[in-house]
Amino acid sequence: MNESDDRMGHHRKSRGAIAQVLPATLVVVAMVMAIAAAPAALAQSKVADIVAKMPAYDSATGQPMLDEILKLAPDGLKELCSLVTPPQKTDDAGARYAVHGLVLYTKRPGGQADRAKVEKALLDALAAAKDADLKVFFIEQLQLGGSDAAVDAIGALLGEERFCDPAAQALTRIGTPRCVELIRNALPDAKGKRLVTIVQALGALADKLSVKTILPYAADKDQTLRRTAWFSLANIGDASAVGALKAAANSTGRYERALGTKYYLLLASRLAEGGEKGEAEGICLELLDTRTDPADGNVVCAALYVLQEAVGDKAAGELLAALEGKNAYVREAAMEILPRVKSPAVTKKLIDKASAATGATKVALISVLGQCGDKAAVPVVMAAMDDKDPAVAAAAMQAAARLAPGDVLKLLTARMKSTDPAPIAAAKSVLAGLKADGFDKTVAAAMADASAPGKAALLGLLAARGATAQSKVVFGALEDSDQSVRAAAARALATVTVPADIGRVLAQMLAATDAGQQAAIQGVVVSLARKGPGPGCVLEALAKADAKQRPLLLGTLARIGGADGLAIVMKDLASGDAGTTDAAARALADWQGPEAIEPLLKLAGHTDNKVHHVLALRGIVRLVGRDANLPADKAVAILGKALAAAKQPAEKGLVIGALGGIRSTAALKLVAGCLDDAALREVAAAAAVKIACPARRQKGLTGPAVRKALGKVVSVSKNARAVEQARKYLKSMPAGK
Amino acid sequence: MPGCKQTVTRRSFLRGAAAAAAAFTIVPRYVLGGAGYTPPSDNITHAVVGIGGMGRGHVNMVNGDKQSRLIAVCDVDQSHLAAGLKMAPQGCKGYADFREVFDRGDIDVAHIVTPPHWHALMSVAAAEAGMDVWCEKPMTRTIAEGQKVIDAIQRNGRVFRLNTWFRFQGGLYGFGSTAKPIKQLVASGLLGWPLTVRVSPFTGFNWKVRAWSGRTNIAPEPVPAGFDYDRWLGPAPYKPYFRHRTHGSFRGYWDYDGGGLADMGQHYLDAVQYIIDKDHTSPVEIEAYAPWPTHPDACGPWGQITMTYDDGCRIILESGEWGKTDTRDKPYIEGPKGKLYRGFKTDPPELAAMVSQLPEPEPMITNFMDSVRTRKKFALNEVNGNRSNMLVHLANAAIRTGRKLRFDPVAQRFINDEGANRLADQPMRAPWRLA
Repeated sequence: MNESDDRMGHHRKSRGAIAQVLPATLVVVAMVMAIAAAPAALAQSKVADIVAKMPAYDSATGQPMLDEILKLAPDGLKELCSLVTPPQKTDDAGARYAVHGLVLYTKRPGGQADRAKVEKALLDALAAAKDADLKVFFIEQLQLGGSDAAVDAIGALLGEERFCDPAAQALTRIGTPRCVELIRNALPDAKGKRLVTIVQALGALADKLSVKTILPYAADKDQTLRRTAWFSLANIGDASAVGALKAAANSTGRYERALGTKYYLLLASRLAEGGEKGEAEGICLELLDTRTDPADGNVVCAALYVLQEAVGDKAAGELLAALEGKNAYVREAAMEILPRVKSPAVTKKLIDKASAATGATKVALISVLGQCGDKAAVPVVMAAMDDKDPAVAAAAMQAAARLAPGDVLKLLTARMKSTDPAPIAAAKSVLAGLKADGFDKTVAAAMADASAPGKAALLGLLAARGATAQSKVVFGALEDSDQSVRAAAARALATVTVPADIGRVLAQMLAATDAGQQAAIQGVVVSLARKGPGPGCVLEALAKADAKQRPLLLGTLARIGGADGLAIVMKDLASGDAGTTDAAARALADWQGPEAIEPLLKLAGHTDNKVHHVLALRGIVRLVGRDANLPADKAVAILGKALAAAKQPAEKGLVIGALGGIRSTAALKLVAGCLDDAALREVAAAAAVKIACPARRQKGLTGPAVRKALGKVVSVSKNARAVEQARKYLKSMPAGK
Repeated sequence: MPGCKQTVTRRSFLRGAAAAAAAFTIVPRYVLGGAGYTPPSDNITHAVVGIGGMGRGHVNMVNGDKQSRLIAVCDVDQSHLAAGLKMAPQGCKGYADFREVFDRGDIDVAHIVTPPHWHALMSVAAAEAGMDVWCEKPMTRTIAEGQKVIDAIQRNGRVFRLNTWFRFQGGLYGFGSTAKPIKQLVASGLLGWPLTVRVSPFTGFNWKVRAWSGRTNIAPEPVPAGFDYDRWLGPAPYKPYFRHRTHGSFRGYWDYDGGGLADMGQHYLDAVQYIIDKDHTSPVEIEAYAPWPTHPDACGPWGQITMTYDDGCRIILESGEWGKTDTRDKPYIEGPKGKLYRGFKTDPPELAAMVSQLPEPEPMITNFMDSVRTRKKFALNEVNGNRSNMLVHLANAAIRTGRKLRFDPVAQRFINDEGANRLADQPMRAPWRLA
């Protein structure tokens, strides 16, 4: 029985018990009453049934269930709320799921009509609840789902210690003018913790009418009330609080002073938002003037932020001064803020300063110019790209990439003429992240004049962008006289070619003289063939290939896979020519599709060539291991044949290892059969344990064969770990299993 | 209004005349000096607030850093505090109230290792008291708290690190690779665009959903001696004490955290956000598949969540612990031109080998002490941390509301859904507040 069944059973049992104790004379009366109250009773039964199924499987099934309850409103909702009980009185989890679900469900766009029903039910339940925790539960649900219709009832609870805080939070969240009024009305009588709560809520709701009442609390002896008043006065943003918060900002005690300062600046922000920018500026400048202790760097930063927000471009003087400052906190803050100042005069000042600056200051100024986005800075930034200081040059490249990406594209691609790796790497790094029109075309065009390392870098950029329209340049680079350029072009082919290019790529593969380059291009051929064209192009080439090209083409076919290619390989395998047969056997061993398993088994069973024998077995093991869809019994059957074909202990060990990866009794039996062979004993013991014993998230195998195999492991193996695992599992295995 | 002379003085000060002795790049508190400060030393001073399991990890971490000195530990549970002091070096002081720690004025870095309902509040308070912040994940308990942390950190010129690291260090759980080559592959465009990322046990990521589910029908219990429950609750709504709500299992309750999603979410999703270049934005549509309705108090299981960005990129989360599974044998990242599977296998296969040729991602500062010294942003800071934190909260909002949600990444609010917005921005219990 699951939890839901249990809940349903509980309700049925209660109603049955009541019926049994009713005196017979009352039964008739009860029946008459029941008929009169039929709709309510129906609702009760339905609601209880739905509650017992909570939570539903998902919202698609849960929402219709809540719709059912809504249809039974008001009785159904009343019944639902009555099922919520004080903590641990009864199992009311289902009812809590349903009530909370209804609150959030009816808050959906378009759920207004249902919302009112739920709100009414919550309010009735709030009024009826006697238990404090239960009352708080309904207040919390109203905080999520309530409207102005709920606030009077919630507001009435502000006067009670236990409910003041949840009520204030709910009213703050609902936030209508009536909420403010209700909280304000509760202020005169509030004391102690309730007073703190009320003052905080009025501050959060920015009630200007409460300023006069709250102001005296800013100097209260009670620390909590005093600090709360600071917050409220600051957030309300009334100029009459400037004096009180100035005093707060100058408090003794670091934390108190930090809080006071924070609220003094919050007041400045609110004043600025309300149009009183002069007052706001005054606060900021006062703090900038007075907080000269270096340990107050954070206050200076904050004041600069608020100053810029309050007066905009007028803050430029302070910000520029801060940018050159020795205090790193302040300098970083200035760098963050300055780009918000969009003023030609500021750009000009930054340019003048950047032109004269050196080192870290220049880096900072150039970076800010990049972020400001004013094109007037382009010349100075571009000039700084040639600065002797690499940090300045790097910052300038990044800044220029933001300000004038098109110009930077031309300038940096032109730098690829250099043979010095450092500027090439720096330029490539910027170009890699550059977003500019005509990027691929410009980069491809630059190949004509670039040095060898420059060409390699440009090819890397084309590859990274998948510049298929520029594949001609990449093909051309495959014939470059420089090996590093050819290698870069071979790598780039993977992303700049499309399936229609497969013929050209194949020709390049056959023409390549460097093994690494050839392997890279072969990968591209395989990839393109798999995208659609298939092995046709390779088969055509095979028909014309000489003996030298044949192994390469067969290897390519192996990586592509498929029946057509396999037929060619099998034909070559039977050719009788040693070279042709060897190439075919190697291709077969490397084959990528399961169609090669049977031919490989055949090869392993019949060949006299020791190398081909090993290659065939390796091929079988690889193909069985990589095919996730191969059923375990088939895999075991294949490996069983491979095991029979294996001759040397190492070959047998290879197959036993593969069997160890299959958790089946059939695999275990094959492996157990090798435990008597001294040369295979330990590899077989390890495989047997791997097959049979429990592993992470997997149960162990059971049955007499398992018990027998593991018993054998314990008796013959010298591998302490395997023996321990086998023994442990045997011990835990239920008797008879 | 101040006059011209004052302006010149102020600007002179800002230029550093008043702080001429201060070092150019290294300005931790001990160098700034001033009246009442301890003499300069080579150490950066730390305080660890919250000495549960993770807090003790932070204590060990600070103890293991030769250039750091732990001078304060704080916890509202006396037994935790005693354990922290036992691990701490000589001279380290213990506190029950974090405000007393922040009042000291000699701490450079505050480690916030409390349950998440305190993270934003303490991060903001630490920044305003002039400290840098090393905060545990998830960064905040609600969406709205995130911007408050950003504002406080930036306005006060602080540096912030969130305590997850997979965007710059370590293998991505069961995926079988670090984030860097994946970032390179994605940034190259070789997989195409838009991308779908699947974060599920089948791609290497276990969500621990049931492990972090809360309990229903819980009976109030007496508060243990030595545990200041009211201060532990702090800004959270008052609920009768029940042990499972607190130490070690608080993640299962909405008042303090967000279940398995909030536990592992930022570890997994921050790396995804970095890889697909979404540090500056958030999804615009979120849909969940989970048991519904959710309990008002206890976090529960979920099956699948799909989050879609405005450019069509999608992140699909699948718990593998409830309902159907769609991600088995599917790639971790899939684009129109290529796929990346667990173990860094690619389709087409050549893509994997191409990574070494691709441009390096932009460098990041990956040692927080370097950020403290240089004042440069840490790799995972308040801005990108807030965005990955938001992914967790967006997913939970979709689970709780049971409907497809639309989100405005700039305003950081749900569109036309007051119910979801009320979950995203919740008042705090007085006297605690973020502003």
